[in-house]
Amino acid sequence: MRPSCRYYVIAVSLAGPAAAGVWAALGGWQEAAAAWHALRLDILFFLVLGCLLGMLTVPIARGGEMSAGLAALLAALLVIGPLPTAAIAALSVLVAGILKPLLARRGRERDDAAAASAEEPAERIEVAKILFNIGHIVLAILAAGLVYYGHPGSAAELPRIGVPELLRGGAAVGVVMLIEISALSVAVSMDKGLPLVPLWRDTALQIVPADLTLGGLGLLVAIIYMNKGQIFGAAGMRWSEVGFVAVVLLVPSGLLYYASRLKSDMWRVYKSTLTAFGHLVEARLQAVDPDQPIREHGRQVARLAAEVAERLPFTEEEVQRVRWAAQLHEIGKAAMPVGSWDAASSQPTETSGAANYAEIGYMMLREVEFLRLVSLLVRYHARPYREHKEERDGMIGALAQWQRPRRWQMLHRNQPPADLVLLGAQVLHAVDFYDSALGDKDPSVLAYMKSESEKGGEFHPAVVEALERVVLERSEADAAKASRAGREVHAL
Amino acid sequence: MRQLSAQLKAFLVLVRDRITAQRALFGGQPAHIRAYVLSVTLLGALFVAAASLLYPPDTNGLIAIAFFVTLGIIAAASPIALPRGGEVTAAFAVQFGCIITQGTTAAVWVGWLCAAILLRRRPWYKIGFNAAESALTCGLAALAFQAAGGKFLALSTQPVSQYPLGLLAAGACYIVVNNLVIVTAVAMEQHKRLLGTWLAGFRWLIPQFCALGPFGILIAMVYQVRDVGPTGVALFLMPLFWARYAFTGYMEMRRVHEDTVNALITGLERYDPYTREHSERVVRMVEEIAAALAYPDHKMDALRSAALLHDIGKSAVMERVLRKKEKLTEEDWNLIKQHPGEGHDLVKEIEPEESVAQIVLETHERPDGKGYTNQLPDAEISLAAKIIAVADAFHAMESRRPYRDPLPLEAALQELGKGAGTQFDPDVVKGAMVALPLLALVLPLVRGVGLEAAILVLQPLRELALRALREEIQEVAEERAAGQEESARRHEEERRRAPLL
Repeated sequence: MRPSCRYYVIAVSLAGPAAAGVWAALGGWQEAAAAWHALRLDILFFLVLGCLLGMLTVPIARGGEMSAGLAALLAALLVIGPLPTAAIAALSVLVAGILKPLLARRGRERDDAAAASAEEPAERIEVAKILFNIGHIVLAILAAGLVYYGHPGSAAELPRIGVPELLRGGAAVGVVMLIEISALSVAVSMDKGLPLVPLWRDTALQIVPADLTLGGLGLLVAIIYMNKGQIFGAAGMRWSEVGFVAVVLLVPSGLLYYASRLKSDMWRVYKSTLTAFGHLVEARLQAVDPDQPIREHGRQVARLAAEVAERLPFTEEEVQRVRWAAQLHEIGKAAMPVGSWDAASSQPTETSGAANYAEIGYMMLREVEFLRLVSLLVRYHARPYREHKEERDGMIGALAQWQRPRRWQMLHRNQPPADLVLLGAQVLHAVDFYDSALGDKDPSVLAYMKSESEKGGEFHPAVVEALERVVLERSEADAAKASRAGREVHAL
Repeated sequence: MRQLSAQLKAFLVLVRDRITAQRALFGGQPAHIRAYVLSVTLLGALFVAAASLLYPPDTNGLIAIAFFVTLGIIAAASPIALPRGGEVTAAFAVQFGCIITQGTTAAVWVGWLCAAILLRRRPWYKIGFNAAESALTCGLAALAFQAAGGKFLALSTQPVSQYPLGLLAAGACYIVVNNLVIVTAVAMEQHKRLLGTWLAGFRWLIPQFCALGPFGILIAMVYQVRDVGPTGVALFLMPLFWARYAFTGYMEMRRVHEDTVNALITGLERYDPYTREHSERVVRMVEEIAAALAYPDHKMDALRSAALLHDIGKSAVMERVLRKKEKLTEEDWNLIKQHPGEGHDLVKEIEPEESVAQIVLETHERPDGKGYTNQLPDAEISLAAKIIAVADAFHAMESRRPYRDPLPLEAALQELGKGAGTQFDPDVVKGAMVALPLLALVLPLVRGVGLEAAILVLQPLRELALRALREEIQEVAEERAAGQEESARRHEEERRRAPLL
């Protein structure tokens, strides 16, 4: 995490509890205490519901997922007031932040296939993330309370909900969304060095539909809760009524969670499918030419290319795309008949009449609409940086020709500009060369690449700079590991 | 053969012309189906008229009808495609909610209008039939609710939980009437039995009805809340539509996965003359043989995937061996025997369905136990692996290889016959004997006279051949079972005698 981002995370983490303190000082504390006496059961009910829904994830637009807790929190805000709701929000975020990684770790241990995938990071409890989430959700709930009740310090009333309350509830949902989107996009922008406005717009497009849905559900639960006498024919809280409210909240959230799980499982299978094809390509090339000096070339290039891309202005999705292209960059070679390419130069032999392997890989991958951008990365990965400017027009044309189907909104985001795709191809070009020339064993390879990039010849300067950083960080990490191991041996 | 083909072609052109002429009148349907469709349509219209006259809706009723019709149309127009075909909509939940709250007239109108508006681009008789079916279903369900002691929530102050019998009766009536009316039409059209048609194509709807029923009850309860009823229902349905959106994303991801695997497998084979289109052809043959053997529909996806991926390990381990013109050494054979294992490991990462990798592992096992990788006995080899083994061998025989020309169809089938019982499963070979020549006949016919006419002629031939095949397989199975019984009986007798001796 960059230092500026670290300070921002600390500031937001502190701002939430500070705002709650101010709220309490302005009269919210006495009213919250009064609410605790009058609505103890209701508060406990919403606490359990908030924690349960906080554990459920629901899908958001253009991939990804978020917690379903907002539905319970909004209902609680309308029924029991802002301060108790802020406390429930903080607790539910804490519970989800601790339990989710633990459950995921257990699930991963059960699932051998997932455990084998080196691509997925190990789940761990991230304290900074939990505190940041608590900070911004408490801020959002208190701001929404201010909008709904009109002034700070308001606590629970149990009015009937009519049109004005619905409108104020809608405004409260809007405030929650605004704070959530801003908090997240500023954090990502600071961490990755990406421009804030497009990132904010992108985050908003992702989160708003899910937040509106969950907010609507929260309003509905509040309506049912406050009109329960009318629905059930008797006043007061009974188990059947509690059950009904829980069912109304949990059934749609459960359905959303189920859809979300299905999609994320399928996404995992898809990623492992492309990895498997990457392994197949490696195995096939190895079978054709057992004397090939580099083993696991595709895997090495994929790992290094992803690390380099993470240090360049790529979003997570674009890094993923670079990783896939790296895994499959030699698929064209694997598809060509034996003897039709020269192992040393990676070019087709004169007698084969075959096209360049990158071209064949491109033709294979472009058959899959979803991998169109990956296919472009594979096609352009073998071209040097000096041709970058001439290729730009071709890339713009290729991107313009390809109309992304609308139904893919759920799967991935906007099309990146031509320069970014070419930069991705340059990452592959540099890393492919570095690994093929055994750059990890020979420091002169990186020196040569650096001199070439300074001349504006073979390699992109920004890419070589990022590669140099990765190599340096790797060697530092290796040295630290070696000294730790040395200390342990010494201690023994 | 050529003369037969020309005669067939002339006959089929004649058939096609007659089909076109018939279509112009009434969708080409025979008289008894026309009579059935007309009767249902008239009955539905009568029911709508009678309900409207007997229980005319007031202003609130009209508003409720407009609300539920809008909601029903939105729900029915947003279907979710299911992984194994078919689709789900939330229309039943909306209609059920309307039935419970508003009563017969509103239910009838909602059913009738939803179907009529949604199907506006279909032929007139289909709109009439479906609208009438929907009106009858909703109206009769409302009557059943009332008959079982239920009171419509718009007229009652009691909560809906007071009428469990009414809810059950309404749900059961809806399911029975809806299924009966539609299945009868389909069975008449396909000349099949009612129960068989329902089991084959409609049974899967029952869990869907059961899952959506409670949603209908929840919609009714929320609608009952004064002042905010319709808003509440809309808020409640938002997550459902969002779930639909997410589920569509999942289905799209599945499709992308399938496309990717298909494209990469065929792409890896395309540039090599010896493997070009191999997997695609094997998949097609496997589908035909599986159909001939009445292989269960719900297992077909896994079978297709395994057929597509069965050779993935081969290309990983033995490129050079595959192209060798000289005799294979023992080392080469050992390498060859590794490939199902390699394929199994790769497929485990590719396929979400776990059985696929196991099928790939078994594709080179033999009924006589002399296969590889694990030399499994016949009983432990899955039928899917046996089908792929036959299709794979057949395609290898009819393809050109570095060391031989392709075998003609008859010779390839003879070779399969020779291997029945040792290398191949005898029943699967019989299935291949029926399915593969038909497959060879289909493509030229389709190109000559069009798909529809080709199906018209080949379908009865196929049915005849399949019936004969199934009868034979049944007889053999019975003989085998009788033999086993006999040997068991003898064994038992011998066992009894043994102590005496």
